[in-house]
Order: sequence, then C-alpha cells, then structure tokens
Amino acid sequence: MITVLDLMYFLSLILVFEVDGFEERLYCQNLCYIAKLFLDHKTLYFDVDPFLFYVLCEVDERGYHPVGYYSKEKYSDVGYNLACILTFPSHQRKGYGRFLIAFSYELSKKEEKVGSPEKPMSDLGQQAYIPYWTSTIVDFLLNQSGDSKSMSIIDIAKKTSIMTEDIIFALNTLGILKFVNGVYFIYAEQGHLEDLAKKHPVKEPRVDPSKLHWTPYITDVKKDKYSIKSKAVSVEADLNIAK
Amino acid sequence: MEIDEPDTPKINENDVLDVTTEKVPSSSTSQTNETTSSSKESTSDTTTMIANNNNTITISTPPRISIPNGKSSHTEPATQIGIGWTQQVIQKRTPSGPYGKAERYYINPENTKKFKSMLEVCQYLNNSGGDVSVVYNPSGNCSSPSKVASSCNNNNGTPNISNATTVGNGGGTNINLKVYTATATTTTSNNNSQHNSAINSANNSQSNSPRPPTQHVVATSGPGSGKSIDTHPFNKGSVIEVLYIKNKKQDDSSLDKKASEDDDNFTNWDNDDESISDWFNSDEEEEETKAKTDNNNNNNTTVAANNNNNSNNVYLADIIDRIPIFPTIDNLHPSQRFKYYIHYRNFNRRMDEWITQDRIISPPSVGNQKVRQIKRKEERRKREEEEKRERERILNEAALGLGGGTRRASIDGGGSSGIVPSSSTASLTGAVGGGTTSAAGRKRLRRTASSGIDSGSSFDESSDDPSSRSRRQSRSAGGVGVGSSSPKKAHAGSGALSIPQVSAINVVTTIEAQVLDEHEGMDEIALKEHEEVTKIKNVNTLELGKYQMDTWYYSPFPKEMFRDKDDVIDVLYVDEFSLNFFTRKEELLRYQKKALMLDRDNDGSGRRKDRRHPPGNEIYRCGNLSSEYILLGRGTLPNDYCS
Repeated sequence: MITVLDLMYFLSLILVFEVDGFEERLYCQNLCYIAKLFLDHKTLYFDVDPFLFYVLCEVDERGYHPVGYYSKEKYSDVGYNLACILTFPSHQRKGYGRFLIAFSYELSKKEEKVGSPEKPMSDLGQQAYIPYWTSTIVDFLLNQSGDSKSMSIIDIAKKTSIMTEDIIFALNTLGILKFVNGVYFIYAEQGHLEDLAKKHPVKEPRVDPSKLHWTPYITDVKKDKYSIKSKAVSVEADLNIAK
Repeated sequence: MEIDEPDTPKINENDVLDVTTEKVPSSSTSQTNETTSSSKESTSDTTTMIANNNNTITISTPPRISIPNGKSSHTEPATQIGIGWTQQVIQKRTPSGPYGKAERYYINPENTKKFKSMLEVCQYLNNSGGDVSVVYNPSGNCSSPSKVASSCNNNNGTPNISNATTVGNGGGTNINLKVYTATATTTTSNNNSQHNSAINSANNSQSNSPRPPTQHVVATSGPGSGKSIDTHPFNKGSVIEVLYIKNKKQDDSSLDKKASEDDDNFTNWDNDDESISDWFNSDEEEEETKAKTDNNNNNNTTVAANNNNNSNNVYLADIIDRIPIFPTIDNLHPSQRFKYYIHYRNFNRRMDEWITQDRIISPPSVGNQKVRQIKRKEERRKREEEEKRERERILNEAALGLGGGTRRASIDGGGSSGIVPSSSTASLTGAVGGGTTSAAGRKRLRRTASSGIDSGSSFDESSDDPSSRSRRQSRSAGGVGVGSSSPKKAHAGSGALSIPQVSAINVVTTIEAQVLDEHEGMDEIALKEHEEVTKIKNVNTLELGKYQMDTWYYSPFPKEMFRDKDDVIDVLYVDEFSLNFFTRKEELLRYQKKALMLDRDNDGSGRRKDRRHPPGNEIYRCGNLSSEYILLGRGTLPNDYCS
C-alpha cells in the first residue's frame, strides 16, 4: 500500500506556481476563460503558448487553492513584465494583488530588466499599481538618503526594476517631481519623505526575494533594450567620466 | 434581443402610458394602470354625452412619418387632427449608444403646444373648444360617434353595458389594446400570436368586424428609421433611477461587490462601503420593503419620500435589455413582468445587473429628464471653465508683459541640501523643447537684473505697478526670499532646495491624463463593437472551491456550453485544480471523483498529476509552515474533499 506524506499547513502559507502555457495548454486556457469573467479587456484565450502563468495559491489541508494569477509574456517586445493580473473576488482585499505585482517586479529584478504592466491598464489595475509604485519609490528614497549625493530616475529604475515612465508618473503623483527652469528635480527632504512613507506604506504580504527559487526563462533574443545593462550609466559613473 | 411586439396595440399602449407618466412622474406603473382606466372613463363620459348630442368630431391618428436619412427631425402637416395641425418626429439620441428612440409630437396650429399622444390632443381639444366634443379614433377609419362611444364603454370592461353590440372598426382596435394589457403576454416571441388571438376574440365578440386595414400603416415604423421602435414603457436605451441594494447571496458567500477592489487604498471606495453598510444597519431596510409594498399599493408619496431618504443609493441607470420572468403572474402590469438588465451611469460595467420592477424608483420620463439636466449642467460648467481659462490666459499674458518684477525671488535659497539636483538629470530635459529653455534664459536675465533689491525681503519692494503686485499675491506666491516670514514658506527656512512657488507655472505636477485611460489605443468603433458584443454577462455566478462569486464581465466560453445564443449560465462550477468548468454540479463532482481515482487529469496526456495543486513548478513559498506532518493513506482522503 502506497502512503504519502500529506502536510497540514496553516493558512498563512502562500505559494506561487509557474505554469508554462505551452506545456499546460488546457489549464491555461481554462484559466483565461475564467479570468475573462473579471477582466473587461482581455483577448487571450487560445494562444497561450508564448505566456507564462504565475498562479498564487493558498494552502489548507485539502490542497492548494488558487486565489489569483498573473500572466507574463516569455519575451516582450516593449518591456512588459505582466500581461493580465487577477485576484479572484473571493480573495480580494487581502493584498494579494499587490503581492503579485511585487512578485512580477521581483522576477524582473532576477532577469535584470526593467518592466512595466501591459498598457492600457484597467481601473482596478491602476488602483493596485499606483500605490505599489508610490510606496516602493518612497521606501527606496527613504532608505537611500545619505549613501550617495545624487540620484537620477534611472538609478531608481535600476534598483526597483520599475520602468522610468512609471517612476515619473509615481513621482508626479507624489508631487515631488518639480520642473524648474527646464530641469527636473526630485524634491524631497527627509521629513517630507517620512510623511509620504506613512501615507504610502508598503503593505503585507511582502515578497521575500530569498524565498524565490527561479531562474529566468531563456529566450533566443540576444539584445534586449530593457535589460538594465543597456541602460545609461548612472549619475556617479557619468560624473567620473566627465572628470 | 429585439422584441417584436404587436403592432397596433404597441402604439396605443405607448400613447396611453405616455400620458400617464407625464401626469404622475414618479408613480409606479401599477399606478399607470389606474390612471389609464380613469382617463378611459372620462372618455366614455364624454362619449355618452356625444351620443345624446350627436355634436362630435372624430379625429384619428395621422399616418406615421419617417425621418429622412441624415436628419434628426421631420415635420409634416397632420390634417387628420385638424387644419393647421402638424406632427413632428424627432430622433432621440441616448448617450448609451444606438438605442435612440424616435418620438412623435403633435403640434397645435398656433404652434404653442406640443402633445405626445393623440389622447392628449383629444383632451386638449375637448377642454378648449366650446360645445363640440372631440373623439379620438385610433384606427384612422372614421366611424360614427355613437359607435365609438359604445366601444369606449366596452373598454372599461364593465359587462353590463347594453349598447356594446354595435361597434365600428375603431372600437375594435381599442378593445384589442385592452385585451392585450389585461392578458399578459408571457414571452416576447409569443406576443404576436397572443395579439392575434386577442384580435380574433375581439372580432368574434364584436360581430366579426374586420380588422381595419389602416392598422398596418400606422404600425409599421418608418422605413427611414431603420429599426423598429421600442415602445415598452421601460424601453431599451432609456434612463431610469434604480435603488442599489447589495445582493443577499453575496453577503452569504462572503463576497462583496464593493469589496472587490484589489486594494483598499482608495478612500472613495471605502466611503462607499461605509455608506452602504450604514444604510443596511439603519432601519431604512424596513423602509425599502415598505417601498415595495407601496409600489404595489400605488402609494405615490411614500415612494417619493423613500426616494429622498435613500438618495445615496439611487442611481441613474440605462436599460440595456429585458427578458420576461417565468412564471408570469397574471394581474401584473406588463412592465412588472420583465426583469431588466441595467447599467449604472458613471459606474464600471462590472456593476451591471438584472433587476426587477420593484427596484426601479422612477420611470424613463423622469430619468431621461434628469439626464438632460445633468448634460445641460455639464455643458454650462465646461463653458464656464473655458471662459475662466481664457480669462486667466489673458491675465497671464498681461502680467508677463509687465516685466521682471513678477518673476523674481527665486534662486536665492536653492541647491543646498536634500536630494541635490544633479547635472545628469538634465538628460530628462530632453523632453523640454528649445523654446522653454530660451524662456528660462530670459527669466534668468531678469532675475539677475533685480536681484540686488530682492535679497532678504519679500515682494513688497519695487512693485511699481499695483496690478502686477496683486497678480503676484493672487498666485499665492508668498515670496520665497531667504529669511522671509510668510507661513507658506516652511521649506525655505529649513535650507532645503527651495523651489520658489512663484515659478509655479514652471512646475509640472501631473501627467496623469495619458496614463489613466482604460481604453487607450482602441478607436471608437472597436470600443463600441467590444461593448456591443460583451454587453450582457453570459455567466452570472462562478463557483470556485468553497466560494461563489458574482461575475463582472462577459466571457467567450465555448458555445457548446450554452443551450442557445442568448443563454445565460447561472452558476459555473470550476474544479480548483484543473480549472475545468461545468454547468452542473453533478458534472463537477463526477469529474472530481474520476480524476481522483485515476490520479491523473483527463486531458489524455496520461501523466500522473498531483491532484491538489496547479500544474507547473512551485517557485515561491512563504509563510508559516507548521511542523506537523500527518500520515494519510491515499484512500483516506475525506469524502468532501472535492466540495
């Protein structure tokens, strides 16, 4: 008689599965059909091959229950790191949407790329993304002060893998990007940043990069302009060169 | 779903209903019934008088006219009513799209009054003109007054009227109308046959009077209009006011439509939530049920009061579609026998839902009126805004022309701490055109010119021109000279990079417009098409694991899932682990049982699969993992594993 070990988990355990659209076509198509019930502008149903699906699961003694997912192109021409994202309504307001977004950027960091969600975004997409961007950037700026004397938006992009356009948008939303006499400044002093950090907190559940066991999907594309390496040199390097 | 309703009664019914809704705007439709009959009664009264006097004029409906292509209205003389009368057809445009309804008006010779229906015209003529009575004969086939009179009497359904035996053609139609409204057409497809039988029975009882040929002429919609006109009292495309209530089912399944937001950061949603929960906590729920009964009791005033109290939860909504409810309850008004698919104005389409009559607060006549008002207000606001902007621009230009004084007091405190503006951020200025840079240079020149006077003080100096000073102050500039004392300059004293608010016009604060469009990149036609196809949800509820959730949008499930084109799946059952979906619970359970036994999926791949997690690789695991391991035999899985 074959027996298996079944694990009893507490509910706070969450997992992410990576499903290849090519290998599990039926599963991914089903997922798309069901997701369409909650997404207005979604056109992907059959041709799931070029996509990877990341399924977020809650665990209890009965098994792994999908609570949300996002899909991602294996290779995106325009630097998208997320195509569709959905948390099922039964599990919304638990921060899973934010978790999946953070997760997508975490994967981008591993890929050493900057990424952005597929545009145009839905209304709920914006509601999830804008707080993520603002809180991440404020958090980053707050933990950055003192280290270096100057910093550019590209520096932020390199560290957070958020695309520069989105950073500019977030900075504008925060109201700390000023445009003076033809030059952009990020204007934020410590106290103001702390206020902003209170207003835009980084929420749980966070993604712990050390628990991510993943290597980037290998594509044949050699040159990728969204790779961080291809980005312009940072401010300090720039200054060094100038010297 | 285009609804084909019988021809002649359609028009008659519409006329009657229009009259009554005019009269009592916020009444429910059951009220309408009453007023309808009362108006009939009055007609019958006059006609009895006519029978005595024999001093009557019979008017009939003028032939229907159509709107020429490319025009929105058309006017023609209507000699059937009288000399000088005209009828006008206006194509209504609703913002929701193609469901514009053409409306017909009758205009009196003096061109002072507009009437929506022939009954109104009849009443008007009766009230205005001396001792001559006017009788409306809808068929257009003029018959003698006495005959019409008797037919009208018959309409009231009073059985003891003796002179009901001699009835002309016109009366025949009227009777048809009555029969039609009383015996409830059940399905839309049945309408025609029902109507026919109604006619037959009417004709039989009315000594086989033939169906007037003019009916057809009257009934067919104009060829120019292109589509049949929806004359249901709650016709598609019209706007009504609807009471928003949370679905009970949702509460039970711990699902909350409002809570469906991915993120609770947005306060307006939170507020919404609050208001709704408030509403549910208070005794207004009682009132709502009361309102329902009131609706049935035709108690108009309470409905209105209710309307006021719940104004937070009453929304304007477009009617998209309607389907009949089964089984039909006979003594209901036709409008109550349908349920309506509505779209709340200014809300996302995910809120669209099916509602029944009792949630409707006010009929289309009121709703459309409100929409028009809002539109007018919006237009006015827009105009005012434009004017304001124009004024500001002119003022601005004038101020710029006044010279450097306005633009001083800026760079003094700059560039000392905080995140220092680095030279490389200049790369960002690629976006800035050359014109701006030159402008900046110009400003700089001016600044240096006046900087001597500027330091250490606020603006008050050197304001040679009172208008320029007031201009500065109105910009809430507050003077960002070093050490100045205005409360607005909190940052200036702290020695941070002080961005002078004076140069506020230089500071770009938002670029939101380009990002926040959900439908970006879709042209209007594609968008319209998309909305047309996905207008009505084809699955109402989704059951996934232990949760049931209301769906938000249309999904193109394989057509084999549906019985016919317009079929709607009530509950879609989904297996959590393979995500296979079924329309019946038994199918799901059977599938799960089988899959468990085989321990592999039914996709024919033959691969062994763990039935308890999605396929693919686990790449992330985080959270509390208890150290308890429980040994379970494969067969000892609990029976309710699947459910």
